[in-house]
Amino acid sequence: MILLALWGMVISGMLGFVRVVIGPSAADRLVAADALSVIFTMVLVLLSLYIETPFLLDVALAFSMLSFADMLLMAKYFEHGELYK
Amino acid sequence: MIPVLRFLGGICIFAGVFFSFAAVVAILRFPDVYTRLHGGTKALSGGAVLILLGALPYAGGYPGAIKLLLIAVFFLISNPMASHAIARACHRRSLAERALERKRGERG
Amino acid sequence: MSEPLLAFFYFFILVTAFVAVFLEDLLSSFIALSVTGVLMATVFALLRAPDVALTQAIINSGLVTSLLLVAYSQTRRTPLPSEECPECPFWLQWPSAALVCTLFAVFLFRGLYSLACVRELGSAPAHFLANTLEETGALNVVAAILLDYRAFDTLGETTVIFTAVSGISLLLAGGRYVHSGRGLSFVVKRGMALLTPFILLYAASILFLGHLTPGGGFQGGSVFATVAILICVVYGTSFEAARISPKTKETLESGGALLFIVVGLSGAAWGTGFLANLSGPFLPGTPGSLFSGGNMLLLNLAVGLKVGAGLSSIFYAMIKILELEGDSWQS
Repeated sequence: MILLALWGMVISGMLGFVRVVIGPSAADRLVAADALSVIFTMVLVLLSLYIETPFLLDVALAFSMLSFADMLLMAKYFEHGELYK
Repeated sequence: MIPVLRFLGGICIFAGVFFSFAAVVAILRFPDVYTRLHGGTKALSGGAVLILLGALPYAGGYPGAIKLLLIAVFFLISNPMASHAIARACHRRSLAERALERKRGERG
Repeated sequence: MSEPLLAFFYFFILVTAFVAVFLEDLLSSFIALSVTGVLMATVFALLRAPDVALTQAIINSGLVTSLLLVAYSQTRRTPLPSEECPECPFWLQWPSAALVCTLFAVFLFRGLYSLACVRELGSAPAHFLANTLEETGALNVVAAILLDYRAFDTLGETTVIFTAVSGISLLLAGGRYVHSGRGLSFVVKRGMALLTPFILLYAASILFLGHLTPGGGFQGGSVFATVAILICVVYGTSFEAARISPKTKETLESGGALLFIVVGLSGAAWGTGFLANLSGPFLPGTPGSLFSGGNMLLLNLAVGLKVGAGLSSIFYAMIKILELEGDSWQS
């Protein structure tokens, strides 16, 4: 049953990637990348339940923190054009 | 007791997968950057919290359950903040307006 | 482990990398590249390698994005009209990219096929898996290999990072810092003030518990560097320079290198050898507690200090404004 949920999330991820390809501006691609990082954090959580490896929850927590940092960096670059302002 | 909890957890996980799919549909079908951001973030936050809550009976013991709750709390605080930063950046630089003007200019 | 899921992930990675090469804007290529990194972390997790998945997730999201953006913002966007950039002709681009992707796909799917068969371990992996707990006292076999069996290689890696930081600081030594306090909006500033202590606590737990759970010095140090970069991005450089000066970073980095070498020399002074662990002056402790594994705690701390301070020093060296003679630099 968790395998079905895994396949559902991965298919959603593939569809979200279509927006990264099409999106006419870089802001559209950034929105889709934000959603994709959240979807794949959930894929990591479901994987830790499917394979029964409890250490993957550590990986999911660290990855959620760092994808949040990634989005803040890109948003800062879009807003100011420099990273130090 | 445990199979009932697992069944309820399974329902929560599938509801979460449905909400994530709805968020991806919003990102694909809406016309503008702001609407895509709005639909994507709201549905995805709810879907992610539902998946994490539904995974609690499957986690097997207290350490895994506490980690899942930590991920859910961190996620609820950080994802809206990231979306706010992206939306404000788009508004400050008028990125969406320029794309719309280009599209209207192409159509004539 | 489900083979169709792994095959789908391989196909997805190849498509993502192909798209990242052929998008027209460089900024969009960075975004597609970060998606590729996310997928690679998931594939490593599916292949049951949590250490490698953690390293890939941390390095790709935090550091690769920030260093690429800093490099992109410091360069000229359009070429001068007098120069010409010879480009690969269009009819050659797509077929050669498709050929490279097909070669990679062949190797990946052959690997997938051999993973599905039953295979036996060689002599060295079997020895490591069987004897790590008695010989080193640590639960995490990857950390035992990095910091005990092959600790000299880890010293070489930290030397590589040290050389890179020294080279970049030397090349970019002539610039000045722009002190600015704008940063991001008020909501993000208050939110970061709420979240930063917990991120730092989690980074310390990755660092110090490296001999028990997936993680270690390199991953923990990278998260520290990412938090330093994030403080500069969210609050502005004048806030960050007032809190953690470049002199402090230099001291921490050199202190980390010195700690590593002192621990190694204490093993040599004991009479056993350089970087000796349990046969040297270090105690094994009870397996599963914090103070176990001999000198692995100190080595993790040393590597973490060096990597964290070094990588944030690289970021701070690169955000300087370079003043060149007789050149209109677009900042």
